[in-house]
Amino acid sequence: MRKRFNPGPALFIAAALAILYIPIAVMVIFSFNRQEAGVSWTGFTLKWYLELLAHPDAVRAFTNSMVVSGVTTGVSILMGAFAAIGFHRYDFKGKALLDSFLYVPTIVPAMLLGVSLFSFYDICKIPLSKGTIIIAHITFCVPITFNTILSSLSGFDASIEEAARDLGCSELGTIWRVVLPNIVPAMVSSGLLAFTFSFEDVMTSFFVAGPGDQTLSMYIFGQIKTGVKPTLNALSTLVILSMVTLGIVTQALQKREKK
Amino acid sequence: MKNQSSFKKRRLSVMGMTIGPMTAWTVLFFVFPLAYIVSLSFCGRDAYGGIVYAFTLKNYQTLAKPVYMQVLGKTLRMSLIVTCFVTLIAYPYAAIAARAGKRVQNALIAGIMVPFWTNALLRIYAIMNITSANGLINTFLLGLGLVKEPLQILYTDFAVMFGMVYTMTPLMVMPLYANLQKIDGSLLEAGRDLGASPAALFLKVIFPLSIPGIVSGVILVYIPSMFSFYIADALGGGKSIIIGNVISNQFSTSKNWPFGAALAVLVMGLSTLLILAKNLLTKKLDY
Repeated sequence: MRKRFNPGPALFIAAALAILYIPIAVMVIFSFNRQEAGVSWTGFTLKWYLELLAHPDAVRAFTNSMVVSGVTTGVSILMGAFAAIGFHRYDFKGKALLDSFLYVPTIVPAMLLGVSLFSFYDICKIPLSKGTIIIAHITFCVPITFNTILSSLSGFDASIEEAARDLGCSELGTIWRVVLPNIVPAMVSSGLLAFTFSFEDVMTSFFVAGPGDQTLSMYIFGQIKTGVKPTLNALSTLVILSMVTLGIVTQALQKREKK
Repeated sequence: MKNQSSFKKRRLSVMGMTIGPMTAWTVLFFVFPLAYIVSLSFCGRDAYGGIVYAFTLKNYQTLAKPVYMQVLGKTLRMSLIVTCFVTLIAYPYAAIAARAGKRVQNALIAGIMVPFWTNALLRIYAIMNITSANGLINTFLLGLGLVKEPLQILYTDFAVMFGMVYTMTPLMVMPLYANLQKIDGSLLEAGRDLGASPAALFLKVIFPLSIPGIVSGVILVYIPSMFSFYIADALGGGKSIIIGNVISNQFSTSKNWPFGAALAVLVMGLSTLLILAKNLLTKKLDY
């Protein structure tokens, strides 16, 4: 077997990753730069971060996002878990069809979901608020929690359930005391995933948010349109840091679950 | 088993309690709104932006006007270019990753997925940062004396397409990687033993087997890129308009919802056709 070292693939990977990471790195580095514009480094500072805290809009957008994504995550986990348990335990006609139907909201482009819910709220006379954003987010987050939890249930030992029933546990009691505790890890990791999707959404929220209810992603979107700003660099750095941490935690949890 | 029917009833009610809420939710907040927007596309509009509930095809007639057809054509073209570039980057990346050692494989996949966890908006902003008049690229070019004044990169079609390629490449890497990884190594060995050159091996074995991966990647990139109005807004600065912007404007500033709905239905129809074509193709390849 001849094996010559070919530098091509390594170079390609290096170039691809460089293009991917350099813009992000530049943004992070310049969030600590004293100078407001340009690319010359004039010294380390944290003033853009402090200035950010003094922006009431940014702080409010952050709290809005926490409320919206928090409620979305909670409801999505519960509704997804229940549906997954039902799907796992019962067989019925049209199950496969229902399964693919319940998956559609995640494939449909976020923007379509946004405009259709927007018109729907209008005809139902529902005023736009944080609640209307939450409804929209739950709609595309439940399929995520549902599918994650369902796939974790496929490895669940059915004999434990039978044992519980034989020992006199009711149908609901079995679900509550036996099935639920077993899917907690999947509920947590799918919840983190749902939180990420909800937190990052712009295309749906853009249409269904009330005037004072903009989420952090929407706030960033509004700011981006006005151009490059060091405070925005700082905000982006904070968001990137927390999202990457969240992503790593999710991955780690999913890996532990598989073991 | 003294009470079979009550057991059955109980079972049914638990089933409804578990599956019911999610199904009801999806019908109420997904099917109804979507059905409403389809019917809205056949409604009229009065002078004040109000909706007139009477059947008309006017919106679809407006849609056929050259202005809108041009935007649609441009969107389809831009999405196509974006998809081609994404494929050209994602394919070799996925192929290299799929054939590397287990550790390198994990590192390469993590390398492309980590930025994907961060908001797409922030990645778009990062692009703005380096392409602006006093950003990294222009400072670099000016410093080298390659250009006399800053290049206008930001707020062009190029910037929009670059942003789309930048944000959507991971979407293509994942299905391709999953697909290429499954290709049986012994198949390649057999080819090599029978005297196939690396190029022939790729063209006759690897590439045909990876078509399903390419197709799913294309769907994952092409459809969202038609809708990503925020990328066109941020990197195109209002000068580069795609169909996503036009739809978004109808629902916000222009207040012509029925027309916006018709546009949305059109793009939705195109997307559905693409997905159907994909299913047909993968079925055919599956024999």
